[in-house]
Amino acid sequence: MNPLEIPAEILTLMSVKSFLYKEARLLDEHLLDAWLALFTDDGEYILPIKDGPPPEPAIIRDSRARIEERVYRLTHTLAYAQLPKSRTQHEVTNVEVLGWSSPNELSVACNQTVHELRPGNPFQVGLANPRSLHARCRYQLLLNGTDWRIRSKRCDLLNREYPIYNLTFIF
Amino acid sequence: MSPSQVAGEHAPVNDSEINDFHKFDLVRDGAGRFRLHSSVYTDQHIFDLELKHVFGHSWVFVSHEDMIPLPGDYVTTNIGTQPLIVCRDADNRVHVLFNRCAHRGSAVCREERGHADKFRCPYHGWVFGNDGRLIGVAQRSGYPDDFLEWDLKLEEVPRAETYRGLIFANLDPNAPPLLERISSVRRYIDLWCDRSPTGRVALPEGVHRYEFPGNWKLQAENGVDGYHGNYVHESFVDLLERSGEREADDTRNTRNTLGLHNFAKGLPYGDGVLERKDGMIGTFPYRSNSSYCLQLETSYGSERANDILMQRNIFIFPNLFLFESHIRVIHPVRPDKSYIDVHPTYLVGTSDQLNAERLSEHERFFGPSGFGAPDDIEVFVCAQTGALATGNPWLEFSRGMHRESMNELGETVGHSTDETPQRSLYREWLRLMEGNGVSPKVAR
Repeated sequence: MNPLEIPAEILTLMSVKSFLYKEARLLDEHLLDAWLALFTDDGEYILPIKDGPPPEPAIIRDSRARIEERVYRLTHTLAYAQLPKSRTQHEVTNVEVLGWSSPNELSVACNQTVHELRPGNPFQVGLANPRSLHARCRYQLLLNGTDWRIRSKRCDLLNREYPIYNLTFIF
Repeated sequence: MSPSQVAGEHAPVNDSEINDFHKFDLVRDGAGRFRLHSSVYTDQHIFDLELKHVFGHSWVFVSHEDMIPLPGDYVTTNIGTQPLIVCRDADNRVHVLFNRCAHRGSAVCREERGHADKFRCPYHGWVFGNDGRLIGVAQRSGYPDDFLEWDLKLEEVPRAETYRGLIFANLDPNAPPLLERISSVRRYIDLWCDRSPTGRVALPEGVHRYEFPGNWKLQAENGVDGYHGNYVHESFVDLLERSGEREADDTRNTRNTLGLHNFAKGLPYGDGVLERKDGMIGTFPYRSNSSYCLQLETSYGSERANDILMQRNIFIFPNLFLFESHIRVIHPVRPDKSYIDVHPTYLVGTSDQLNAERLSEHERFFGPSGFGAPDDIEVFVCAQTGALATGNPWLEFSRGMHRESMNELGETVGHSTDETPQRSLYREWLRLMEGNGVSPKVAR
């Protein structure tokens, strides 16, 4: 029992926040293999355009295998859209626990803003130009011992149905 | 479609500009070389002339019938930088209207897509029907009795015609009919539509859209460029090897070997086709889906089914592509800013599973977060940067000029890695920029 008698829901929220901050840090530090390890074996990562299954397209509709491929592309191949690599800063706000969807699976909502810049010669088109992208995010988190795993990460970008320049870093 | 407008009310062609353009020396075509001056990517004056002479005198794709299936449906879009409404009236007729109130010029529709039987101008409340007719004016007594004779309306784009669901419009009232314009590329449009055993390709609502800080023609050139794949898409070729789908050397060789079915074609009117039997990347492996192949054979016979299954990127000048998985539309915004709309398609009459697998393969390569297309965008941006260096301002589009030949259809055919389609594109571009797209003003 905790000596301060902090309510369980507050502890859950703190634990979730700390997990989301860790995820953000792994992405910002380009520790993509560690980020990948946060996902369950059936984990998914989705950036939708409109709601709905195929044939409605998504910007990203990654199964676990596709997430692995995404990470491999960024870490092991000559992906010109990430040469130079984006420098990012994730901000996680408005974190809210929506409820337990099963005894060990939690629904979480939050807002995220990613500040991004591709370092390089600032005279050149597309480089050294900071911008920010914003999304409403939903997570399905699986309780794994004393920590969380991501079963689903869904980010509804503010500009999801509008023209977007280079979104090849991980949001 | 509604009748054409009278030409007399449109601004006359400025002959001095046309003559100026002749002196610019931007395309050097001859003696086995084809070169283009890189200011065509960067110069504001050239961009303005493109809007006038290229987009002002071409059949430009404005929408697909599937995006406005019902009376009252509309989308808003552009030809060049001009705002348009494409809609269906109560009688199911398609109208392509300028999105501009006849009173003080305000855009009357701000949504991108929707359903409405009228458009009300936000400025002074004038109301127009979805056939363009003016149906209501606020405080009518401020105008004289003969007001209706002023014939104010949402102006119709002079020409609009549809082929197999693709809606094209032309700002030039005297343009030749669409069917005449697409007479060469039409067989490829048909083959593309017939990827569906019912002949109907449909569009979901969602669109993959890119913005990039570069010139629109960089995308126009690239979609039928069979030379860059092994270099720009090295990443994707490696992913195919990693997944066990195809060894990297095999992908590269299949795409590039002479003697295999690997063609890049330049068609009349600036159109182009990149055609391979095998080895196009970022596409669904249709040939290994036997039930789909059987469906095509049943619908079209085995010879045509085989032709349909060729892998093709089809460019329709100035800004439309038909790719296997999608319709791609390029929108010029500024000399150094463009939008690209990628509309994934689904094949009516095939299984949901096939369409889902097709889409998944599309999503893998395309879209702003795909594993292929963003690498193309990156090289467009590199080219936009390099275009400002003037040491040697010429771009070389000469590849394969010495080995291309004309076939019985009047197509210029090169190897798939040759710059044959790009030469076709820029010859048509130059023809229009020199004012040759302006038809004599004849009564229609």
